[in-house]
Amino acid sequence: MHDPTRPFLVIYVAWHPDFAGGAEIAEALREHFRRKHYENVAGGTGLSIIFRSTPAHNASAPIPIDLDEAETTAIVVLVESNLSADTNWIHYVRELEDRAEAVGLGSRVFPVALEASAVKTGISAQALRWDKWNGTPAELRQRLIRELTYQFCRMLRHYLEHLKRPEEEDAALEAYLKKVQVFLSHSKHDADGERIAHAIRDRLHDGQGGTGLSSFFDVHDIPPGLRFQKVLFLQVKLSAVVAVHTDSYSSREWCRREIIEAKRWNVPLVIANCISSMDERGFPYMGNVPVVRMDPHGTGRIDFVIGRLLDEVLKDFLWHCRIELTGAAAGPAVIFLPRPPELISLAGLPAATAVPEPVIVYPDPPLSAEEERLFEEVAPHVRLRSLTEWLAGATL
Amino acid sequence: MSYREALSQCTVAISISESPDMPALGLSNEHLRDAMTEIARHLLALGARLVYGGDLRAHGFSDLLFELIARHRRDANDGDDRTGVTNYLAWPVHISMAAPNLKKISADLVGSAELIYLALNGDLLTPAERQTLALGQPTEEEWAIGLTSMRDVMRNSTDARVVLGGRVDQYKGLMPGIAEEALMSLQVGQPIFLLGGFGGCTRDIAETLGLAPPWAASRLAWPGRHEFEAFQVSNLNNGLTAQENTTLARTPHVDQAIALVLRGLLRISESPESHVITN
Repeated sequence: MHDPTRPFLVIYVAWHPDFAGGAEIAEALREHFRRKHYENVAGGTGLSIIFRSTPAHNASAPIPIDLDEAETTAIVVLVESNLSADTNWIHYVRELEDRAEAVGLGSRVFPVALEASAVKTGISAQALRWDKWNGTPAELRQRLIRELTYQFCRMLRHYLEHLKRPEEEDAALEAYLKKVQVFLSHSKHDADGERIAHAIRDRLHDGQGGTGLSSFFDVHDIPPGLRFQKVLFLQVKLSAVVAVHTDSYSSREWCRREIIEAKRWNVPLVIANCISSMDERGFPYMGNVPVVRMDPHGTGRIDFVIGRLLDEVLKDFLWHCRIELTGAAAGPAVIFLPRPPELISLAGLPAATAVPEPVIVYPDPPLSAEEERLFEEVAPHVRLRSLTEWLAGATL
Repeated sequence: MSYREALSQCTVAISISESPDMPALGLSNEHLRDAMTEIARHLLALGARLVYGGDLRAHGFSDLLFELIARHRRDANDGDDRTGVTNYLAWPVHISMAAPNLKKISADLVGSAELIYLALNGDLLTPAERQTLALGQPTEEEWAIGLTSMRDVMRNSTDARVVLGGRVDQYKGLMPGIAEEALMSLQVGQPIFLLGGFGGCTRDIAETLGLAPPWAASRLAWPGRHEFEAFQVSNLNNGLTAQENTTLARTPHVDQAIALVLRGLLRISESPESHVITN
């Protein structure tokens, strides 16, 4: 019997207690993958991030990680000279790797080599090479977050196929893995829009935004016409949209249609705000999604756009994995929505004759009171529940 | 309109405090703040009211609760305009604070949270009465009496309690604060949720009740611990099964703990008479 309160994915960050910089990196990861508490009403993936650094009482290594606590576990190990020189820690990490290997798709160790010496320990040849990256400490932490987000996406893409085809061997699932489709939506009426869209596409293609992105994403520059709807429909569960919001974007019919389709199909959607002067009327359906500030004349923030795109794809995979596990118990009245509800979400509900009292289940955290009141006024027959509330059994 | 929220008739006492075990359990102060925030947020979203007995330390948990309620108001039933958060200030806590400071803090919280000042014996003081009190430095005995009185008032004004963390040294009062609050709930059969994943006093209590295995950092001898030996899991009266309570007592993952707390509260609110645990 599956326990629906069991976390789907938890992240552990392990570092040697003598590594002075470890806590800062770990907190940066926690802040990103969890969420800033009251400072944001929403945001983050809401994952549980637990540390392993301080040794257990009267021991030389931290308490063990229970790989059964969650459906899937990602263990990030910060490898540097202190850890490399400590045989107890080497043993601790090796044991983690052995156990993760035994579990299969559900557990992965992600070593991060902060110093060249770390590679000599023999801890996984697949380490992320922090030591080879360039940038300020803050930039390096941001890159680590992007790289890990990408790795988690790949892990969950594989796991989702496993959930859908539990009888298949893990290796055979490779045949079912598809690239995530990314559609770049922009106005050809602004030179900025085209240039920025191409810059994003090139970054995703050449992999400078992170190793291996070109093997994970297929990037499309959306042409006008019916092809968009057909392609999006067919690829709905594995697609994402980046909208390059320039001054004329909202006034272009095809841009508006692309946004509406992305919203109706609930695909990951990121807005790159490249307004240089003003937008006469911001298109209302571009709300309720992440907006990344971009300088329309520069391309220095493209990595932030890509990082945010990866975040949205990760959240989408998390949601679909979670619903694949939990949603089978739901009746026909329950509609799972991968982002917080907004009024356009009502457009996607089944007809009232078929489902008189639908329940929309959406990712935590719960909507603020004033947003819930708006739904109550507009559609009193529709009930809203965050996933945690629904799992807890809230029925009012 | 008959807008209703599932827990709007429920008042929950929040007993959350730092724990010395957090580093070994892989948890930082930010994890603790996150736990406090998420528990409060989810309870407020379902219409519950929260009661807290902390002091008003800058950047303490009271501050965090007040910040949260300013951004995420309690989702109340129509016509229910009670504040989302009530903070009971024990006499020894507020007697050393200047009246103008207290007045300003209360004014800042109007509409969101409510401060209630208690006399040494736990009687409610009106704001006017509080204004006339002289500043003082409480004795140790006054700390013990005042804190116990405050906890009595909290228990009597709440329907359930959520317990997490807690130190077992450097506390004021008869026994660790978290322990006294938990004991008071158990003694009257009030629903109580032991979130032991952050260690500390809460985990020790859960261990004594048989919900968590003994571990190397367990502390056997803090004052009052033996009193919990008179209770077992069925005394938690929290709507959860023994298995669910075991999970709640062990998990370090806040979202899992919250789902279980909400599940228990919802079961109780749907069948008020049946606090009995079903395995």
